Amino acid sequence: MNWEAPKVYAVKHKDISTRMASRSGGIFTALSDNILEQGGIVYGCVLTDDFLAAHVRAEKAEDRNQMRGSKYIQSDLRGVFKMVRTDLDAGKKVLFSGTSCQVAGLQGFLGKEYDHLCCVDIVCHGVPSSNVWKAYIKWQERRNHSKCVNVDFRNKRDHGWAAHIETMMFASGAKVDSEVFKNLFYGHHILRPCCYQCPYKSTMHPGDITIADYWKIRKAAPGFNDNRGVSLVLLNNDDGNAAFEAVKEAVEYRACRIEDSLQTPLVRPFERPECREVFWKDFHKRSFRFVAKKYGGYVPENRIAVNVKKLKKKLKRLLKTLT
Amino acid sequence: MKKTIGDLPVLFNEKENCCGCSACYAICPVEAISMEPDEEGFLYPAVDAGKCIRCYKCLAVCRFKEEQRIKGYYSRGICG
Repeated sequence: MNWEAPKVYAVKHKDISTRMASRSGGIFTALSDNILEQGGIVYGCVLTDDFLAAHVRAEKAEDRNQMRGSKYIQSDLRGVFKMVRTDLDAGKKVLFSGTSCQVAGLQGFLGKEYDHLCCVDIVCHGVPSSNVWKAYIKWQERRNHSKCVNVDFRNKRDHGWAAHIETMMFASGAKVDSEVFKNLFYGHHILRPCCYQCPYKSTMHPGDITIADYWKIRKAAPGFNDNRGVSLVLLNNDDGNAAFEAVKEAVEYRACRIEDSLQTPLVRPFERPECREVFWKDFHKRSFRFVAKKYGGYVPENRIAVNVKKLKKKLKRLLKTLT
Repeated sequence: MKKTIGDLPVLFNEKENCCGCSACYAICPVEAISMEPDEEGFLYPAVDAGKCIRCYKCLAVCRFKEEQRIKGYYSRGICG
């Protein structure tokens, strides 16, 4: 049974390289390390080779490491709930991480409580459309005349914890920082329809532990922030409390007040934009460039500069044929 | 005598009432449910009428609609 109100902590992993490899303060790594050390299994969301999100099973830290960092699309859970049940029935300790609706879905599927299952849900903003994400990657590939080989939905290493800039690496070696997908995401047109009526947008969650970026850190724990990531940790019941107690050695922490920690998704869901249908009409009928300009804050390059560049290229070619 | 067969389960009336968690897909004992992408790319369950044995486990397992009801978000349409 979950408590009537969660216990709140601000948390930073003591190992700075762990923290830098994590989206927030590294609490997921601390909790999942503890499970792996006991021969347990960790389930979480990774980015696949084609840059889509899927849940996978990890027995080793190197596989678990792929679960760290942001993925701003909904993950594919097909086949995963049955694997979790098989592991649990075999007596293995399991940590399952996901959005609140995914954790609730797993709990409903299992239909009973398992002492050796720890559920960690993330405070979710709402899940963006994978079709928009795929179209965005294709557009970037066309613009950069090269295949995308790596993406970072939110590049913390180069820009700091609070910044939100997506970085794409291309086969050509080019590296592009952009905010177009972030802008589409925060415009909320591309969220799954149910996210506007999400029942988990409150301080109460189905997980044993709920984690997030601690955006209200300056108010909740003054002096604790160093812009390298702080986790907001909500302990929702005795099991979550015990799991946190077991990893306290690995982290720095401060007890905080929930009233000082209320970022929007802990209060209410984001509103469905009135022009959501217009967006989707545009997305299906117009070019991605049009969508990027209208909804993604994309400002095309200066046409004159581009034309001069093209002209120079042409001249060079012409000179070559003449000599 | 011809056996009567119940109605096919309706897993959601409005897209707002499905979070795509795949619990219904996973619990189906005869693998009659597939998760299919819509035109926005989000996965929704689809029931194969030929395979479905009308056990309605897929309706009973859904936590999302239940939580929406408690929160008062579930005003449109009744299913399950």
